[in-house]
Amino acid sequence: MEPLTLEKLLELLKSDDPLVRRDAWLKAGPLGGDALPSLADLAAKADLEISRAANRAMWQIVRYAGAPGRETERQGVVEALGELVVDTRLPVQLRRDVVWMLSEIIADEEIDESIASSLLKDPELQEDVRMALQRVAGPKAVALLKAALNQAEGDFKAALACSLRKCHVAIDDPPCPKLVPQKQTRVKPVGR
Amino acid sequence: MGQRNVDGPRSQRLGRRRFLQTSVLAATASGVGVPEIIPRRAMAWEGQPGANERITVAHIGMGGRGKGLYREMAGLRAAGLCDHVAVCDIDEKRLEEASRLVGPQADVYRDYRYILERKDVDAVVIATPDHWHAVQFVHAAECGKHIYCEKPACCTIEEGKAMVAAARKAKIASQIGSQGRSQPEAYLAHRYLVNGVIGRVYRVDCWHYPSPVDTSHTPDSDPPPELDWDLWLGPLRWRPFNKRYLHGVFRWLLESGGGQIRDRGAHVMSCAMWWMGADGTGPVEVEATGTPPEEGLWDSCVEMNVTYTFKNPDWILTWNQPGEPVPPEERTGQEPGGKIVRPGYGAVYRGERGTMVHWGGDGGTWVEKKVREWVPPPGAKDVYKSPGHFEDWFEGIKTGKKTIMDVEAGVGVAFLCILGNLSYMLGRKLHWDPVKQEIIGDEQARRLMVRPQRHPYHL
Repeated sequence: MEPLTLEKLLELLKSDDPLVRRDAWLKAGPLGGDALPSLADLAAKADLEISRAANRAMWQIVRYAGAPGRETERQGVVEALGELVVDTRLPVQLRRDVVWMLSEIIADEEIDESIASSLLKDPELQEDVRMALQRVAGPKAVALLKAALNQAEGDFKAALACSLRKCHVAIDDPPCPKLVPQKQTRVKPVGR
Repeated sequence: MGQRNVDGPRSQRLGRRRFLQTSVLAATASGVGVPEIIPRRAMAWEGQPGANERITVAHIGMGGRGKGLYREMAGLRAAGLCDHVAVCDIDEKRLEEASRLVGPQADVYRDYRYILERKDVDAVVIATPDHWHAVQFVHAAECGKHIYCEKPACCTIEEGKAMVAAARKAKIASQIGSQGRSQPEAYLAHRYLVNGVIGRVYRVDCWHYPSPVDTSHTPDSDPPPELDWDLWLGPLRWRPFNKRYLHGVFRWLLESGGGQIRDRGAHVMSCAMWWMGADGTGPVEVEATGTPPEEGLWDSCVEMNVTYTFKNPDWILTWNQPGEPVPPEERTGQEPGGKIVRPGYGAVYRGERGTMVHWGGDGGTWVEKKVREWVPPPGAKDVYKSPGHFEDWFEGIKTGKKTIMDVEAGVGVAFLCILGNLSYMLGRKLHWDPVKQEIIGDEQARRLMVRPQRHPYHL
């Protein structure tokens, strides 16, 4: 059996047959970081189910590359994801997915500080980036969360403080609001 | 809205309790015996309702399962053992229905944290989608509430550890909703296995029918006006609303439900862990394969096989969709568990001298005839017989005794389900340290033990 090429994968993912699409994305893992830009493009532009299949192919590549002993593949995927996460032509929701993909496999020392700092100021992405850095939790990730805390305000500042506490950094202020109720119902109890 | 100050009743109840304790202490100190008129079991330990006091319960999540749990507590209500003082749901239509069901004595809330603020609430029943369980459990424990929480206990390893730590710290009574352990035939199966009738059990094979596939091709849309999408998502990362996430069908997404293995696996494998005496232990290896849906939003396995390898003692547990279902036996309906109405899942226990089959594992748990008819010989070991899942929890609240499916047991079972899904997602075998409760030798898998949560809906 011939190995799957990127061109063949893209062709199969565009099939009208859901079974063909599913079996294609399941085999995408070994294609590595080089396949990610084309898959992201397809995920961004295609119809619902083809977009979904392309997205799942991206995840398959991330899960394959993160396996023990695949360091070269992992680095290639991290590099490709690093370019996608700043590609403003892509839909925000896809860039959020990319942030979460990175959270699984990026090494702390591979985090680009200027990109991460910039994304922590982007209202559309900052919450996902905060959570991704919390998951990585290495010295660089924690330093980025600390720096962002010093500049942030309001809810996001509180969120950053909570992330830092999860990373075992003592933060007194702002306090954690997790137990403070916020949302009122419009429903009245029956019979009152 | 019912955000009223309700310190009064709780203060009065605790006042009576303190009065009783003070009276007893004074009587003891003066050398006078404790009057027989006050049963000792009525002396609740500090912060716990006494045996003669009603437990005030609030319900978080009043969808199909939440309403079902309220109804299941009817016997306890009728016996004067509890009051239902509040209901909460993030869907206003469901909240209205819940108010009609429970009646005017129950306040209504969209945000569960109003309930946790109330000092008159002794206990909460959590029946929200799975991705909320751990956060609400930990928050409730931090507010000193006793907790009944639907299964599966948690969605990540980090969540499970936090739940156990919070329950221990707060010294609350917890019960996870794997109620199969409390069924009458579960007791018979447990006793049968513990007495070695089929010899040492070396393998347990679970079967379950496949998960459904979403073929609706439903695009994202605006949420309906009655739904608070932000509160439904809660700890999950933000994404646009899609009606195929809810209600009930959250179960078919890996993030929010985890598929059949986390839904029914938390029942069938709960029985296995209980009967095998394996609570507090775990496998050393987990290997899963599965078939994802061909299309649609749902991404949990349609078909799946997972093998868990336990060591010291050595045994194998497998989860199989569909596996090899055993046809249900004929019954009259007069058996302890009645007729078998859900034969689509169960397990075969393979021992060195025979096998034992059970069907179901949740509110319906059935074992084969030879097990039901087995008569223990003199000197046979007996096992704990639950008075009922809620009743067992109430005993835990009132006496401090360990419940049959406390959070440690519930989390241990949930970890099996989580590890199975992680192995499937990553396409590789996982090595697990059951003592430290950590994945070994796989950095990506180790990171997936944690799923950071959206602010402020986090542990």
